[in-house]
Amino acid sequence: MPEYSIEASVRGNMSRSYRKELFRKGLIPAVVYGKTLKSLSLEVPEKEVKGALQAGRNTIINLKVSGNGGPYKVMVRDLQLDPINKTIIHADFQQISLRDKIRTSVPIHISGRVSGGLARIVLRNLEISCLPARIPDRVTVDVTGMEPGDSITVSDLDLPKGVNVLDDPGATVVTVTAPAEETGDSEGGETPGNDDEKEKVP
Amino acid sequence: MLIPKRVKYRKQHRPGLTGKAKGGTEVHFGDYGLQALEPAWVTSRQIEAARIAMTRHIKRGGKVWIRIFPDKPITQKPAETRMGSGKGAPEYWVAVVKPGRVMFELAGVSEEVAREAMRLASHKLPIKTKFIKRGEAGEAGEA
Repeated sequence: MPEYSIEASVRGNMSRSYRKELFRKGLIPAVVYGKTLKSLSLEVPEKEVKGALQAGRNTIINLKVSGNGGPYKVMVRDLQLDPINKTIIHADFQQISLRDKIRTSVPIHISGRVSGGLARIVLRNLEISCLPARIPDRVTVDVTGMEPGDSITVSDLDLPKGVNVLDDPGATVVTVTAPAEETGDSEGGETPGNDDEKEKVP
Repeated sequence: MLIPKRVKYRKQHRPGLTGKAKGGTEVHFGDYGLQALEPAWVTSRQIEAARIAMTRHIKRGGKVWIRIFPDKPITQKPAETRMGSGKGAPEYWVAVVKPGRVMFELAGVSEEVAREAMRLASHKLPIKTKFIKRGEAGEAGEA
């Protein structure tokens, strides 16, 4: 996992008007906490947080807090995004220790093409436990040659050394289903009288 | 058409439309989604029309998810009726959609087909919408 550095400053003013001022300056409110660190409200440049997240959610960040020591090794624990334009509204940073195992989830990436049917992805993130330095960017699953009825479970995944899976080994990751038959019902509106059907009201 | 099987109360207050969607703002089931950009009451007829438009375009091989449900009854008084004498009769059902809500999802088709299917569906809806893909624009996962 690559490491990034972010410079933050302590946020003293908690008012809504100040938060709006932060957004105008390109800063976002954030918080950092951890085992040896008391919860601290921060203001962080949004661009730097976005840059650090380009490599994935499990990026290790060196967080420098002006006037409050550091740098702290942190990871993004939670992000609040605007539902429409996806700008970051708030970020939670959690302090980590490089010696202790942590629980996190990594994305599952599907590669290849199935030979028939439709590949249905059941599990998109894998819960793992490992040292922060060993967190893989993603877990790749090759579906080439799979036919309807075939499936891949968590136990079939090929993971790097030192990475423990916390998900159920029997859980299905991807399954191949036969393409749905085209029926009048699923297409809808074809059957006469459908439009005339009286709407049921309570 | 989607309607509740049974309800506790036949008539409800008119649902509000303020604010942004609190949940259901990301593509969860499929690969592509149709996101609302405006608030609206989307009726069960509009949902059904959009679903039909989508399923007709994708023909077979894909899967459609409807992420909204019309659970609010809207009442109307008959035309040329004097005011008073109680609330009108329930006429139709709506889903309250707020900006950011992913209303439909699609999987198992190419992006081109999905875009066109969503475009056709969006013409059946009373609001501006946006086509979105899974994991687009820093969509948050679990840390």
